[in-house]
Amino acid sequence: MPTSSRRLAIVGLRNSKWSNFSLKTLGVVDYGVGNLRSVANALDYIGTQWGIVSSPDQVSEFDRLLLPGVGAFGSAMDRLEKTGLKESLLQAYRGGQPLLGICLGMQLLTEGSEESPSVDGLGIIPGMTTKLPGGGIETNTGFRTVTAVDGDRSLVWDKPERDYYFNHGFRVEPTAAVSVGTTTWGGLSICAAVEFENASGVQFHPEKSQGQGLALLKNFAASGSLRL
Amino acid sequence: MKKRIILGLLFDGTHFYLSRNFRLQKLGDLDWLQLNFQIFDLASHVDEIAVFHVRRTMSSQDFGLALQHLTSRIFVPVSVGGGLQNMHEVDTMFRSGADRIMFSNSIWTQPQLIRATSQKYGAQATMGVVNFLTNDGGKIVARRVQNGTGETEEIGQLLAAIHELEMGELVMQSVDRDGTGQGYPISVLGVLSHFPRTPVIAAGGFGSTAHVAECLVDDRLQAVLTSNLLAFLGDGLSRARNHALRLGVEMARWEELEDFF
Repeated sequence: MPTSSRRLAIVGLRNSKWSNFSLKTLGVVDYGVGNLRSVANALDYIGTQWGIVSSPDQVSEFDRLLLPGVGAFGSAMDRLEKTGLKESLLQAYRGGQPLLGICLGMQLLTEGSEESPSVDGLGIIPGMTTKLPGGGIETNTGFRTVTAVDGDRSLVWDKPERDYYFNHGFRVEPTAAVSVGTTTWGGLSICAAVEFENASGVQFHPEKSQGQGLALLKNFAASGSLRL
Repeated sequence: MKKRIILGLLFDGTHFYLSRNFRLQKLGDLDWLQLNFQIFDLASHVDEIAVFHVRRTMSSQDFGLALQHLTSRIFVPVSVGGGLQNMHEVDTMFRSGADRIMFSNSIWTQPQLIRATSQKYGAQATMGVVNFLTNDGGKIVARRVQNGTGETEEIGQLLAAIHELEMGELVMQSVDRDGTGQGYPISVLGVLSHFPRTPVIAAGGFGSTAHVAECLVDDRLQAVLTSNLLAFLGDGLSRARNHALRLGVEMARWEELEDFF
């Protein structure tokens, strides 16, 4: 299993923002689809210890859980169900283990998705995943500006706005005030990041968003939240 | 929507290539590319990397390992294409660092593979690549490889197929201008007027920052893709980006890794 990069572990310590934190172990949930390699590269870079979670008994071996995502909602939930990971992830959430969903991983945290109407989601984030509003281009691909809902607490640490990489055709519509970051799509403000109890989610890909994305992942490894 | 600059890499698993009118010229391996082009630094100045598996002398499994090595220090999206034959190969690319898959000939020959990819990974993870050229009659046609040779087909049918397959983005790649540095034939975009829903990436012919900016200011285009490494030596792509920003093009702004780490 890949471990932290020595060089980056050293340079990471130089940054005073993180120097008061010890990075926790991250379990990357492997449900058969998704860009595990990209996430692995990012975690190696930030210098945290991590491993793969592919069976229910592995969930408790890590301090924090990361649910990455490239894929379709229905097949992803099907895999989580069949492997027993769905129930163990819910148990971990109920037990207070910090959990971060990325892109599809964030959508899986909701109650369900229009992409697969007959399939239930994990039901952690109150709300549904719906198709991006039409009116032209229907896939949101590229960098977009994410604005922190609470301007005093940025998604990294020092700016209320940053650009992150999105690639999705569906969006999360929370029914409670859990959105901590928004972006715009077709003139509408849409949810880009959520935090609810010990669960977090980002619609964008931090592992593909240059330095600010890696910093966000390091925040999660350090604090269990999107922010320090 | 912020516009994007995509760096194309023609890669056979060990060596990188330049292309001119789709004829390949070998450059060197990854160490050579890093030494001469600082590829990992270049990647921090572009929005995306597109890797084209050329020559296909290597198995998908081995190419996947090479892709893992190539992308290990690249923290922007990676699209991969080049003769993928089945879902096992598609899965291998995703597991090796690909975020999206580019399909070209498969649009004609294997639409079921594109549908299966879309079903498993989402439509946004698929891209259609149209290689177009102007035929002797002055008409824009699509290039298709059949039995190892390039043939031409009516372009409208291909665009309709991409539209019907609901692919995430469309790469319009000029065969005539490929590697020439003469600029992108922007007038060709008129053929897209019936297919406004699919975001379009221009590829082929970029030889200067002005060529890149000319396309980025065009409302019909979301991105430009250049594989012309020699035309953008050193900080060429960074200069192209700054040129576009000065013209008012909305592009992503990001801090470099050194700003954080």
